[in-house]
Amino acid sequence: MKDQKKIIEILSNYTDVEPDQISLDSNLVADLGFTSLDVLDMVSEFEDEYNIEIQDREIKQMKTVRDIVVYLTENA
Amino acid sequence: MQSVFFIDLCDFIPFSVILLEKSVSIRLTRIREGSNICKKYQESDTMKDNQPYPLYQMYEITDLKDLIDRQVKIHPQAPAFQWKSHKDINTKTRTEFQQDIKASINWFKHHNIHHETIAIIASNSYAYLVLFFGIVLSENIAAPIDKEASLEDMHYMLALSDTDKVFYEEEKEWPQGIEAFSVSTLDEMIREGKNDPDTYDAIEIDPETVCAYFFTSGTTGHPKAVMLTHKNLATDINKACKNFVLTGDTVSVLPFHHCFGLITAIFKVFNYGKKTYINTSLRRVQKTLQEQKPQTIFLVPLFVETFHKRIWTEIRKEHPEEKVQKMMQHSEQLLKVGIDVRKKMFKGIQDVFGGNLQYIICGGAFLDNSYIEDFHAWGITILNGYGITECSPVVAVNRNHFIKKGSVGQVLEGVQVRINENDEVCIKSDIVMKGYYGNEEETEKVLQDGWFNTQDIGYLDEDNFLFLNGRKKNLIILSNGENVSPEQIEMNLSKHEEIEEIVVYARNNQLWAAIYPQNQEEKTGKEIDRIIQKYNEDNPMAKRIVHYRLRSTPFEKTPTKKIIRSKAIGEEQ
Repeated sequence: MKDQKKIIEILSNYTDVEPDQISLDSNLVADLGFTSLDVLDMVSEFEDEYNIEIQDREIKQMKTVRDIVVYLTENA
Repeated sequence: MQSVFFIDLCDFIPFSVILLEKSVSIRLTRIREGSNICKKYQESDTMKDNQPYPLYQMYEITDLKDLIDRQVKIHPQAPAFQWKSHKDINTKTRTEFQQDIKASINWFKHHNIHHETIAIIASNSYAYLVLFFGIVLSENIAAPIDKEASLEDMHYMLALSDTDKVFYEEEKEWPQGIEAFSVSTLDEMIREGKNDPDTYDAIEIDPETVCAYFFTSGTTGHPKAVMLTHKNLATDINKACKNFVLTGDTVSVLPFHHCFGLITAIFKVFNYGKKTYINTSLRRVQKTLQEQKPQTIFLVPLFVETFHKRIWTEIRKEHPEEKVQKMMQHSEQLLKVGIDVRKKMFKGIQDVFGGNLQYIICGGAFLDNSYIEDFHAWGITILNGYGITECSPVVAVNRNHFIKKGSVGQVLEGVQVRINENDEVCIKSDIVMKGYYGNEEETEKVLQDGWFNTQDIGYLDEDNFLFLNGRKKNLIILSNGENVSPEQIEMNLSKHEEIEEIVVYARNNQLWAAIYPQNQEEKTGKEIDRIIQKYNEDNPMAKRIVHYRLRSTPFEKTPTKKIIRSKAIGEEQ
């Protein structure tokens, strides 16, 4: 698995939820209060961080923190 | 987001004497602000803060060709558009823009394409704008369609508008009989069109001609094609430019298939003689703002709310919230006596937007006043406006220096507003559409004796400012400006036999659904989950159902067996 701590640290820039309260099962929209724009900006940040390109259709699959961690583990 | 930091409260007090002098220059700046545009305004300037003052005076265009020609005449070499491709910044002057439009018109003529409906299904780009003008100035009708729409919706809109040709960014299975071209055909158009004899100067525009169809969500389940004429668009550009004056460059972030994103955020800026940087992706919006340092941006509430949330998230990480709230109160109090310390005190927040941002023009959906107040305290003025596609789109907007809290602005010059017996806002003006293409029944419902019924509930005050407080029609307006018809989604999903009844509603600015399943078996629940996931994959992010709940009882219904929506939603909330 990719560095979960680092991923959660990046996610915490978009939410008031404290990093230690963010779990793999946290839903980006329902639990962390992400807007659709947050999701797009977050994706750009991961693209820069891991030097990858994430397609729009793949973004649609990212609903929980686990989805992101799994995606980055497989692709980054 | 970069760190948001402030100077401490005690740091700015010694500056107050210097700033007192500066308050004098604020007024001078305002007069200079209109200098390119409104001589009359300067001569008769009796403006006081937040008091009525004369409309900005501008040359009035007659049609979209006049818009281009006038700008080329007065600012031939001024940059019109900028955008980034790979790492390079491309710039087109007003003259170059006109030349590219001329070439595209020649291409349409050369291929004998006229009196046709041509859809553009693509992301924001310079090519999109050239194509739009090329289409409408060569006696064709442009039909911008959301590139994120599901294929089913795209086919519906193409059939509804009797579209003949499509310019696309992404190849799809287009309906039979439609000729499709890639947006990149523009390069060929420019290459080929340049060699054809110039037909541009001979073009005469009939202002009453329909030149564009913009799609809007219908209340009965399907989108409608709003027919707008040259006169509609020209009038809205002219009149909106009289309420608000733009004195700096902008960055465009709203999608061009929305009337607000194209007519207001692009054409009006062009008419002011200013430059638009075209942000081609919704990713990295903030980075673009920081690089381009716009003076004004046109946004829907979703952006304002997202920026606001992130700013406060960042603030709370570094400062006690109460302290910052106090600083905001103090800066507002100083402002009342003519001392503006906001630029200095909240520099960190200003830098989030590039450091030069003065105005955010916000429309498309309801924006809570608390956002306007916070941004004001940080030194950025949000001017709330009201528009509707059927009115080309702007109906009212707050003015640079005349703003009423809780309003959607002062009604544009020449726009008559009547509040009918049901408190609905009705509009009569040259900005009102010609009707819905191919749908006389729906047209007659909303357009009678020249009066367009917006079905929004509101009232006017003594200064002609419009206040809205509800909606009759059953549309969900999300904060990204997207009008979502719950019935359309319900109809789409209830095609599946597993879903017996469904009600879609908005909660926390997201779509939720309550579903009464065919039966209470586990496998039905799993199938419904799959159906919702598939729906979400096929539709744009803003139209996704974020949550749904399975009910064990059917919804309460009227004697005619219609679900009582208000009751159903009340139960779910």
